[in-house]
Amino acid sequence: MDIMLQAAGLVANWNVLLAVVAASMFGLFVGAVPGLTATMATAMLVPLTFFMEPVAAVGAMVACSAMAIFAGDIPGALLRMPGTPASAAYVEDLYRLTQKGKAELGLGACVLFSALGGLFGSLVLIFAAPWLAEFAMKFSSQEYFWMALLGLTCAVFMGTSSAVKGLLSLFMGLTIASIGLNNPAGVPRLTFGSVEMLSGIDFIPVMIGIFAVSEVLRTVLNSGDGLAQAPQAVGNIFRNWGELLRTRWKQLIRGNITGTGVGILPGAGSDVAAYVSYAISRRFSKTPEKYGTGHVEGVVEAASANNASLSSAWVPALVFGIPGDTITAIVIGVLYVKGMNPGPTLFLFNPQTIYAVFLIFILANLVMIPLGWGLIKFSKNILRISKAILMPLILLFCIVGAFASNNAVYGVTIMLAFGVVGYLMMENDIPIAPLVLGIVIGPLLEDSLISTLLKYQGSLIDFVNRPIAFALFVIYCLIWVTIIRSWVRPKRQPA
Amino acid sequence: MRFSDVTLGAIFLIIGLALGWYSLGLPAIPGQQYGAATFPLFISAGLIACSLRLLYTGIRSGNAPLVYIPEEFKDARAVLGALVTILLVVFYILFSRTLGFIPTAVIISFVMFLIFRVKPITAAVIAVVAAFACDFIFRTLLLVPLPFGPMPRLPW
Repeated sequence: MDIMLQAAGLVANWNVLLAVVAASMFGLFVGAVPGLTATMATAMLVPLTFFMEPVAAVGAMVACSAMAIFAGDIPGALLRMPGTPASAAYVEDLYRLTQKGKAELGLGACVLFSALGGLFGSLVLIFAAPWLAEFAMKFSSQEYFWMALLGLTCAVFMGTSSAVKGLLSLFMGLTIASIGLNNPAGVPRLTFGSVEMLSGIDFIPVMIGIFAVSEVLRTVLNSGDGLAQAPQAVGNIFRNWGELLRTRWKQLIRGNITGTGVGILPGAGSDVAAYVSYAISRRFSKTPEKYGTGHVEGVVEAASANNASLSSAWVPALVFGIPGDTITAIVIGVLYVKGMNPGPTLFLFNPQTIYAVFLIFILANLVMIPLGWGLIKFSKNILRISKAILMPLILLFCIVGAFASNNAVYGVTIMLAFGVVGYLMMENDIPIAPLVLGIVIGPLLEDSLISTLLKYQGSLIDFVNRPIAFALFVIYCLIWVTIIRSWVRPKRQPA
Repeated sequence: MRFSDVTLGAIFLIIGLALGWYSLGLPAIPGQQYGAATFPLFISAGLIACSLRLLYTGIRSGNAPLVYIPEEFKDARAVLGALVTILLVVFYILFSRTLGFIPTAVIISFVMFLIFRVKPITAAVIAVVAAFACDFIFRTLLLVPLPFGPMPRLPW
């Protein structure tokens, strides 16, 4: 309780609250512009967090990402263009509702159930993370090795269409993670004589390049499609809340649980959570034929799932340093910069800071309701801003942000290179998430692999000679069995 | 620009082989069997295996074109726009120190606006405002040492 009071003291500080509100507005804006994702919003926020106190910096990222995921629903409902990929699963239903003149029902459900889903995910985070951290204190290099491997396997196979391309993306990420002096022998590795590369590839310009610059390039190539139609006005979004809560509580609970579960899995983010829970909702619905025709049932379930997954993705990120999705991958970079190194000791040495972050999670999901209402009221104006004005400003902001990451043009060079790489990857259906998670998890994987090999002089049996390590190994094998089964099965069908 | 599975497989095969060959030359920790080479060797094995698989499926699925140029690439203006976007960032990398941040930023955003067909007068106004706003936020508020160049120090 003492810690909670200290945490509340850290949050009740005007510059923390200001950072949270400003980041919320930024997140709402970026999320509401079609084509700009929540990950991009978070990546663009990073350079600004360098100059904030730790709690304000992490709180800003929490608020920004939660708002962006919710705001993605608004252009989905009004223009049939999902603002972020996480809203794509149910965009058809939302848009049809608007066409039927029930925009306030659809958007009201989005505001309410996004906030409730986010709150549920936050509660799971608050209770599960410290408990898991205590458990993780017993971990040695073997357990971390299997955890890292599990995380990477999930990242490759969740939400990617081609496993081979996912693996290639992952190996690229691991290669990038091996650059620099930070390796077991302490020799320059893959630096090609460059002094700047000795410290490795800076993660932040990579993120800005791969998520934001690549999008600028893509818009230029598509000749900057502007928004033609003006959205219509929305009525009172609060009108249907009582009825929605009374009739849709089952969908809410199921969406929350699915979303939280998907979020905890490394590599699978809110877009996967939304798709999975929409599919589950349809499967168990009494009226599956209504889905896709302007039915609010699937919207409720998927909108709560994508926000629930956003919060629960922080569980593995904080406890093991293994990100649950691309947003938490970026957050881990910021945590290191702020001296809040993820891992079980975070809960031991700095509990008040981490509990302050948890409080911000709750605060952000509560603030979502009034801010979301405001955004819907102003959506007519925001959605009219054309990409032709936004994209050049985003490029400028990216350049300055990448420069600020280490105050040298080296960061801008990395940003440009990864902007082009990101564009080419998207064009060739190579998923980006495995690459990002590879860069983040790579050092942990190498460290735990080499320490275990050295400790036991290369004896492979010692990788599984501890109970938790063995259990993780069994889970790992089970995942591979399911993957291989899914490869074999579709081949049998045509025969 | 889309590459066929065969082309992608070949590119990654070369990367995998190069990484493996490079890693073999890395030293171990003195007195130990393992070191800087261990991890990259695993990666290179993975890269080679996956690229061979991609090559195999590519070759089996028949003769798709090695590189597929999508519709938007046939629009010369769009391709030129993308090239200029990349060159603008290169321009920042090379000249921001000598020219200073504000002039470089104005040029970059002005040209970008023109690529997006914004009217020149609107473009010029927003470009100048954006450059000064960026300078104010990052240099004045956040203390990022953005390069001055020949520009006089601003009063704020």
